[in-house]
Amino acid sequence: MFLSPNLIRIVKISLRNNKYDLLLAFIAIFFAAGLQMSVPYFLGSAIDKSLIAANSSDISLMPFIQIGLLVFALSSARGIFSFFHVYQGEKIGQSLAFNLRKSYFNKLQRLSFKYHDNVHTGDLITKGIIDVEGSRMFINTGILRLMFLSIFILTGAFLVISVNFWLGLLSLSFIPFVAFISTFARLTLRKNWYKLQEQLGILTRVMDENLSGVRLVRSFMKQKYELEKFNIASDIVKKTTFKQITIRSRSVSLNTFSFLITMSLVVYYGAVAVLESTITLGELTSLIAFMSILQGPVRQIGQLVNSFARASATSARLFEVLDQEEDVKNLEGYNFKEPVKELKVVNLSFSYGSYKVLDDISFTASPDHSIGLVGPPGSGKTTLSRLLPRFYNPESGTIELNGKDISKLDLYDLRKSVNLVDQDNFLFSDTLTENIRYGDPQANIKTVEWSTNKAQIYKHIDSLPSKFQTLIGERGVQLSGGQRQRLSVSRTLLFKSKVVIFDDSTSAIDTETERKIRKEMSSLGSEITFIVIAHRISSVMNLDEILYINNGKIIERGNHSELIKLKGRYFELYNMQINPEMSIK
Amino acid sequence: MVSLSEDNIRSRKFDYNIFKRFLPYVSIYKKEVYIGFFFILVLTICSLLLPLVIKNIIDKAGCLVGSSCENVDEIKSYIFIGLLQYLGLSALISFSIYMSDSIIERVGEKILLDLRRKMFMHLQDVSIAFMDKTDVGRLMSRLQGDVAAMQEALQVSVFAIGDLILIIGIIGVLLSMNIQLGILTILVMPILIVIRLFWLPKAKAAFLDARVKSSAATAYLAENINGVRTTQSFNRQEFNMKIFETKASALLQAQLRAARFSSIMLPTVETLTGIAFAIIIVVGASLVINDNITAGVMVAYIIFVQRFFDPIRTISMQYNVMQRAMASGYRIFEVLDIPVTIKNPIKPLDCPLDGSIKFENISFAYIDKNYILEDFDFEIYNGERIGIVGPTGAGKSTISNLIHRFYDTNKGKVILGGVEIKKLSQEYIGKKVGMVLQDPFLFSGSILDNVKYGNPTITIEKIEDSIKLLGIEEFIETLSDGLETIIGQRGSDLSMGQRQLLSILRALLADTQYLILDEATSSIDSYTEKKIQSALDILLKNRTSITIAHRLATVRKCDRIIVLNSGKIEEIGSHNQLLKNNGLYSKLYSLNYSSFDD
Repeated sequence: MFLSPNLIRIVKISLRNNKYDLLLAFIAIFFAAGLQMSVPYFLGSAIDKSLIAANSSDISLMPFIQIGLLVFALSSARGIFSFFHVYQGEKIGQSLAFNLRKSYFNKLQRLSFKYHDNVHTGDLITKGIIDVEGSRMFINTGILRLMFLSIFILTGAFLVISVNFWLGLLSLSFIPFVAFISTFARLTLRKNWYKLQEQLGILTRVMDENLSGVRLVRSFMKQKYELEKFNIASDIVKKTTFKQITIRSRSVSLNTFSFLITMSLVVYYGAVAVLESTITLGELTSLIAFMSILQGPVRQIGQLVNSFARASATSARLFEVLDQEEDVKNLEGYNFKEPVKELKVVNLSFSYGSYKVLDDISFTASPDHSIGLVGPPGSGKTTLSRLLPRFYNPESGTIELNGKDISKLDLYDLRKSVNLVDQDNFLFSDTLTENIRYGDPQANIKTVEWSTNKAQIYKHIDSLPSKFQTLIGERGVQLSGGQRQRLSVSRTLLFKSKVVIFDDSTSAIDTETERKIRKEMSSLGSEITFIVIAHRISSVMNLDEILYINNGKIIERGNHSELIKLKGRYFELYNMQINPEMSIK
Repeated sequence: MVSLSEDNIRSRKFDYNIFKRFLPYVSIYKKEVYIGFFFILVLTICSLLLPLVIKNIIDKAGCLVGSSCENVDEIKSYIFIGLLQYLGLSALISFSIYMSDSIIERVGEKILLDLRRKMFMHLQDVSIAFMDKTDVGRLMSRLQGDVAAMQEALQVSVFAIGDLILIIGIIGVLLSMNIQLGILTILVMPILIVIRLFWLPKAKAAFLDARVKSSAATAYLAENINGVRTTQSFNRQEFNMKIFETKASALLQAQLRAARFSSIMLPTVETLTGIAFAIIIVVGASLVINDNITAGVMVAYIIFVQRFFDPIRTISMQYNVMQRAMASGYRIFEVLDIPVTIKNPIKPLDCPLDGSIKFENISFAYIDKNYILEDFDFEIYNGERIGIVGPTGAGKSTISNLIHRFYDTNKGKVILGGVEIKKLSQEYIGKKVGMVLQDPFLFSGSILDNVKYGNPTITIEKIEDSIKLLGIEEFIETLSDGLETIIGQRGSDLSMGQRQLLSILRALLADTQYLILDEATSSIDSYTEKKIQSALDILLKNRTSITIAHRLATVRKCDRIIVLNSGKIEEIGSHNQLLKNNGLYSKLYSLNYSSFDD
């Protein structure tokens, strides 16, 4: 079919949101095309009349003034209709882009970590810009232009055939050729567009990673290799683009050629017919004027085809994201606004592919029973920390808050209750204030100051020239690792969650300050449950229960003194930190 | 210190300097550009000739209507010649369209790629100091959006020149066919120019506004894609959605306003075309009646006028493109103008290095006179294992930055293996000095490609040996496809500790004479670190190494430990010596603080 399913979907979105705009556009197109078609008819009749007048003694200009005024009026009217044609088209296209952008943004914010772990942010950004643009342009340069051309050619066909049947048919004879050339071009272009978008994505990735990893590149002095990578990606893009240019210019050129041949035949046979008095010179003029009006649109068929092909590719890429299943979403969505008395993890397992990251983990945490997690990299601690606020779904086993399965709780409520201070502490390029009150944008300045005070960062912020209005980012002050960590702690403090998980998020804060922060948090009046992942024994040794995780399994558990008595891995770890001379067994 | 200007999409007037700097990129393809122009010229001339052929044919055929008709067969053969001319011109036009389109577009693409490559290459040499304070997103938008805007402008301007020639040609033909009718028809043009004069400033502002709103919405989208995990943690989806919706609808409104401005030219041009037609009909008819012109001339006028306004309209629309290109050009050249402050010597030495590192009275500041290191004077001997500890901001990482010449010193010299580093090429330093960086950056791709990054020809056996030696085979085994596992963007599916392990492996495989470990094990538990430490005991033999850490245990085994505080050496000595010293180190140690922190 002419429209791929994705294009039909685009049209449907516009139909849903801009019904009346589309109707208005359609009416405008209808009249614009019809009026434009009527002009050649009157031009022809003016020629006939002038020739007749030249051969008679009637030299009154009155009929010509009438025709002139009529043509002027028709042209102006057509101008007004084509304003609506183009403007409405733009309006529908921009509204479509607006809607796509919104759905896209919304979708991305809802897709789980699992999705975001596997896509490149550069790709997502490109889709949000370039692919939305490709779909937008389809409305005006694609579907509406197709409508216009169809009506134009239909009314034109009616007119030329009514002028002279055979010449009329002849003047339309280029259509099947153009249709054939265009269909062929559309198919090859579509494939090419898919490929080009993919390859542009790769090129973006190469550049983005090179710039983000600039220190690594420089430390290994791999600039030549990086350039090579860039050149390869860039060359593939070039080849694909060149191919596209060839397909496009070839089809435009062939379209024009078949059109011009038709026109030459119309002129020739028309002239012969005039010579044989089968038609008048005015009628021939009408035919020629009709055809010369068509010349522009025929050249635009190239753009039209390209727009269809491009929109097929770009919309497919967009819809792929929009149709992505949200694997973490509200199921039952029960409200949960109560204080957390107990967080219970029961037989929790989780796998990445075939590898089991977490295997049968069970523990219970409560305000009176804080949990510490220690273990080597890759043992599953981070995964566990991300399962608790349900950033992923567990494979088996359950997590319960006050006895309620978290998968049945309202996601919003759950995440309000359980907050993770991640090891990748992302700060937005905004002021310190906005970053700290990220979770509660309505919070007043007092609260912001309060939370920074508790997180032991107030003094530092106060010493900055712009204090709380300091911008984070390139033009802002460079923050040290520890300062960033304390900022993200204060962000969490202000959010007032009942369960707070620290995922190695205090590693750059010294033990004393860390202890102070935790104490401040515990004394907030409301009961907070702590779960702390750390490498530093001093960060977890005072917690009520410590779990040593290895290869996704809890291999030791108990409080500090119990684990020391056990003389197992934890004991070894402890010894190593206070007594580094000890060697490992 | 240079920095990029704000990303102001503000309009730029035509700037001759930008234009001039852009020229060399075009002149590489001088030949193609000339050929392209040639075909545009052919296309334009042929397009001008076509209506004239039609005019001749009609004049011949129209003789019957008049009285002076000659032999019909003769006329027929004359018309047939006209057909042949027409066919010939058609073929030429189609061919020229193909040639000009494909050549010009290809040249545009090539120039785009050249510009981008030039920028990318330049960014490989620009100092780390610049890169440190410049957001990658901003550089990317210059590498992509701005370059594309330049390319578009280039193509548009080439075709605009064709349009201009066409307009001039049409005016010439119209005047030459009949001066009276010609002048009357062309009189319509000044009206358009006057209208445009009023239209332009307002339209310009509207186009600009649309661009400003567009980049605001895009920036917000981009940042929130990067920060999506934080967004979900803090339930900000709804709130962010509202902000985005405000930005997106502001964009929509701005674009609609711009659309109104560009569409309003349509009825204007159509009305003027209508006026021109009316003039041709009335004045033309009177001229035909009085036998001043033939009917064919009148037909030719009609065809020409129809084609007359198209190029005028296109040219007025191209203003927006040119305006944007000026702003883009400015931003592109701004990147290309970032000075390369650290350059290779003209004749770099590549003599073997003796394994020592000497800091001679070094003072260094990132900003102005805010010295991070002051009179730092120290020598590291061949094969020595040096530890550097100290609180944040003490200047630890600065030392590693200086050894690799990421920055130049303000005062003093760094002498690497007996040679001042300014006399070595940076490639050579890279080959000799391996680094494990604080940020364990990984490329998307396989684990294998990542660890081979510094030594692409290394065999798989050697990699496996090193993995065993480091004792991380368990971790590799846990990955779904072992070494062939494809990791996500920057290894986001790996924990920080795992990324650090891979980063250490990568540096070891590069097998360099010097090795700097900058907080290489900060996110690794002590147990694993211990294993790595004992592996390092073997691996660091016969190498000169510097271990930077805030954890005391990490540097304990070093031959000498430097305790750095506010850019100055506070203590030096082995672990045992420092304990005896009763200084900062032993104080922290005895207090059971395992680290210097914040």
